[in-house]
Amino acid sequence: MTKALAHSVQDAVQFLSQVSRQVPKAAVVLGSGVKVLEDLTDDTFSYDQIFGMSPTIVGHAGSLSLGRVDGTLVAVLRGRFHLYEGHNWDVVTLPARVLAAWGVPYLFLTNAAGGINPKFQVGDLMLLKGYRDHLNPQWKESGLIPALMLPPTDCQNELTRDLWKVGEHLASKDSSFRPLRTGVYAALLGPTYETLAEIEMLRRLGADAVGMSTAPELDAVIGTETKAAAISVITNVWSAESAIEGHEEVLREAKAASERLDKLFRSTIAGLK
Amino acid sequence: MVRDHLNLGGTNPLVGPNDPCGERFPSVNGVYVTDVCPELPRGVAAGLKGGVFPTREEMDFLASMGADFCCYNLVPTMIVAAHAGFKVLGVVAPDGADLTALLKAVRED
Repeated sequence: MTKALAHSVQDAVQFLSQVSRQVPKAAVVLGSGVKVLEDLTDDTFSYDQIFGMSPTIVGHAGSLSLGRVDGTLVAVLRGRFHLYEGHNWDVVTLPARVLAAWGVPYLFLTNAAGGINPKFQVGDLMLLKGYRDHLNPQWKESGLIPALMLPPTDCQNELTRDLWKVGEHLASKDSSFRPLRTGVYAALLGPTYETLAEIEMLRRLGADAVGMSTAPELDAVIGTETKAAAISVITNVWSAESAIEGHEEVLREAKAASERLDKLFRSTIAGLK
Repeated sequence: MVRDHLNLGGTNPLVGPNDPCGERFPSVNGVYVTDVCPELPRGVAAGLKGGVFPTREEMDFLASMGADFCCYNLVPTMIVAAHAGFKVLGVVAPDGADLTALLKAVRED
């Protein structure tokens, strides 16, 4: 960690400690188009106020809201910093490092991802059991071959097990709740979408979904007291047989997926000890 | 002739603020011109970081990942061209090869 980064983490934690005397039990980071816990907007602060900078991507608001889910204090972070915007690793991991330094015990990460696993359908929720980091700035030095030859990083812990159990429970009592998928998320730098040849390569490497985020945050909380879990909302699939009808169906599936994710998070947060 | 690529350079030339000549998240699929010179083989380019010379083991690994040949400057150039809306014709030849006949054939097609 650089000296400048330590300073930013300290500043942000100081700001958050002033606006909330209580440390939230959980924080939820929302990726693009993921709409959950929308009623939690009472105490809202911009990323500029907290982190001293804002994301540049349309649709990523860049705000942190504090509110309660069933009595439990939760922070909802809408938007994130991405490497493809030109931000460095320190900036991209800053929110996760701040949440860990503030002492938030549970971190829920979300993202919109492309489905690689041919069994996946648009609107599926995939709980990450592992991730591949193909976007780390360290690969600038070596190129990606060493990254491809590494196994995925396992990210299963008590929080992912909680989410899985709650998902199973919700699916068993509600037929509209599609059972969760599990899989390996491949994080690519972007901003170009993956090519068909890259999709085939990732499939051979055992990846189930692909996106441009989340791996930095999962990486950043390793070795801290914060337990992180991540869920991908599958927004498109790379197989002809599960091709969907059109844009309206995509929007409908995305909305239905957000509703299921909302239920999943509320039930899981309510059960956190 | 290049029909697709793997960007394995560890970087992307479009990182940073988006140049409005193209989209923020461009698709690079379908940009390669492949409907000319049917007699030439088609292949997938593995774009490596400049100065990286893969070992035999790494070459075998890249082949198992679907790559047909390695190159350095081609893929970043193709990404920039695709972002700017160009169709791209990628032709790969051994060092020192005389491409006159080939380029003539491409032009005729």
